[in-house]
Amino acid sequence: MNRSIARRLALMFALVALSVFTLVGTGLFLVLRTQLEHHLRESLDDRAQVARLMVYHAVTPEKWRMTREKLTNMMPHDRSTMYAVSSADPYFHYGTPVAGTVVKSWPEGYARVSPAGGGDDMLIATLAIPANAARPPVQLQVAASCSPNDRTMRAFGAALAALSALGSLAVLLLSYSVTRLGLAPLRRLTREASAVSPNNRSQRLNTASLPLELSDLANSFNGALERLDGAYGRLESFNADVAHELRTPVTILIGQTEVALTRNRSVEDLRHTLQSNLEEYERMRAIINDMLFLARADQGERATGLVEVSLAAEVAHTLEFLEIPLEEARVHAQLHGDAMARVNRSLFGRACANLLMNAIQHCAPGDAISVTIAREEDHVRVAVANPGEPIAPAVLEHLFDRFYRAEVSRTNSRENHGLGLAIVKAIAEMHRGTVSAHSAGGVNTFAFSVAAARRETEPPAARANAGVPAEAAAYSSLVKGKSA
Amino acid sequence: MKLLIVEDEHKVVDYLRSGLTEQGWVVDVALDGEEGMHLATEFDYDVIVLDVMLPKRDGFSVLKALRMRKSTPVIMLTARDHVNDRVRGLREGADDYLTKPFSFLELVERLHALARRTRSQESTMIAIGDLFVDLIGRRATRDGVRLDLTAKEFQLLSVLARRQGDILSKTAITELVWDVNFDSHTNVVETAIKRLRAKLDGPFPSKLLHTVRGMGYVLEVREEAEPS
Repeated sequence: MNRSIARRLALMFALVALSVFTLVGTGLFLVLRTQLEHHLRESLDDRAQVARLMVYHAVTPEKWRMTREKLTNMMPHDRSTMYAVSSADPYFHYGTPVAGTVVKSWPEGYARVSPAGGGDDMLIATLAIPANAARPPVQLQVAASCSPNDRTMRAFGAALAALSALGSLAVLLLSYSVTRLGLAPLRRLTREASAVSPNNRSQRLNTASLPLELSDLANSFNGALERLDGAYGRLESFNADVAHELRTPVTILIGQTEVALTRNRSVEDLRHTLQSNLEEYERMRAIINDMLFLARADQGERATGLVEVSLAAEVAHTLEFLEIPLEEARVHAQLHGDAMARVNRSLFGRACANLLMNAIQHCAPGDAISVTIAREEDHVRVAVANPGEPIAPAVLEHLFDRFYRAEVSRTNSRENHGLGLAIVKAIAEMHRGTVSAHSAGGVNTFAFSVAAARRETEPPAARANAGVPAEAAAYSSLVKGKSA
Repeated sequence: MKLLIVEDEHKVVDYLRSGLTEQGWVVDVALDGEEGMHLATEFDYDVIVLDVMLPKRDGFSVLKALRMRKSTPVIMLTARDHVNDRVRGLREGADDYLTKPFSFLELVERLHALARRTRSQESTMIAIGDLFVDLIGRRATRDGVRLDLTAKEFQLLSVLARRQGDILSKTAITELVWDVNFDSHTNVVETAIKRLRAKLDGPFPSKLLHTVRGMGYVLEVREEAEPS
């Protein structure tokens, strides 16, 4: 039942209306009751004053007899007002004082009494009249019935309750239809949203005619669609790319194996086929491993086996490994700056090697590659710059995408199946860092960053050693399993 | 040396058994976790190759049960490429880890490494035909002539010489020579081998450094000339 906003809102409005009606009704009820009580007390007062004067002036037994008659005459037939006088002298008694439980009393000497023998509640005023001449001191009690007031209050209360209930019901029904009317744009939005599917991913919600509150929702929904569309598109092209990348080696494998088996081949020929097959298997394995690696990074996996090291030393280590490719390309590499950071050495080395290989491939003989390590607030940025043709901004923003190859580097596809820079990005993200690419003044710069080590007074060597044992060492041996 | 393979995929078992038998291992096979645990605890093996995903009892549980009684070196195999899995395996007492798909050569590498842990000190002077490698003096001679090698070339030669007759994969060479254990997609090893070969085999009629296509490199004396 709570599923419908219209129903829920109507119910809530009705509850609010009921509360307001109850509050107002209670207030009115209390005011009326106070006013009626006040009125009753005033009329009681008037009668008490008259009776007091009469009793006060009854100074002789003769006058007292006349006073009693007058009092009797003043009493109405319905006994809604009663007088009683009591005194130490039995002669000065008159009527029967109302006795019973006091329901409520006021400081001015009034009390509401529920008579012991039953009947309506009475409001009584008790006055002490001092002795005058032959009359002893007496107590005068004047009582007025509360029953007319009570009847009024009961009728009024019942009417209020009935009106409140009716009013609430009216609010319930009215607000339900008003809310349904108000929610019409939402239903239209729902219809539009439900039409969005993978088949028409480009469809967006029409925000032009929406009320203010819904246009925000629709805009953020459209934003989410935009992002999902992008991710879906990337995934689709990624899958297509993977299939494509795997299709080439599989085609080669099937083809050359079939060719080898259609004739009687020499052992040497068969060995040759198997060797060629093995190369294709290795290629597939490299693709699968890289894909798994990227998938894990996508799932937000963080690098483990972190060790605090000097990044310059790590880059130098990678440069030493790449000595031969540098030499063959006749390219010189310079290393500037240093900073400490906690990294997985194997992953960091891989990122550096990928960036450096990328730079080497785009260098002309005699060029110099510059590697700059700089601390930037809480990150350390490793930038690899090489002279090269300017890269268009549209290309720059996609260079770290998977399988993205700018036309110029197509020729290298056999070498690193277009995942080199995507892996750099994944590694940076696994170290809470980012990647960037710039092209300006004939220099192309590719950079990645990793979270920097906190500046501490502790010597880095001691920390690095503390971090190394079992797990890190074990992990580095594991990475071998993954790469090949 | 005696080796136990606990693995349920028949094709994997078949090629591992024939490949390792050819390499001189005595191979026992268990096709599920129960049998694997039984064999592992009842008999003495030099190394156990243990798959994680097994019928009846998974690899972790076999390992746990085994470790309560024995310290036989264990290499875990898994298709799951999650760090957590690896860390868990290592914490529970595995000695090494290989993620599928892995190369046979790499497995042989690891088995050697585990077996070598218990092997005694190796010699410091290695002879292969007319090649002598002096690991202490860091010099190599062939037919009495000293080879003019760079530091890296000597390191590459000594790595190959220490394991003469074994095929060393590019991955293994990258790690042993350059201390780099990631996939680099570079031609560093090929070029380094080419340069070493020029100095080592170039001036001599008999060739020692051979390429095993698709697998790696081996340093050994071969009777006949290498097929092109």
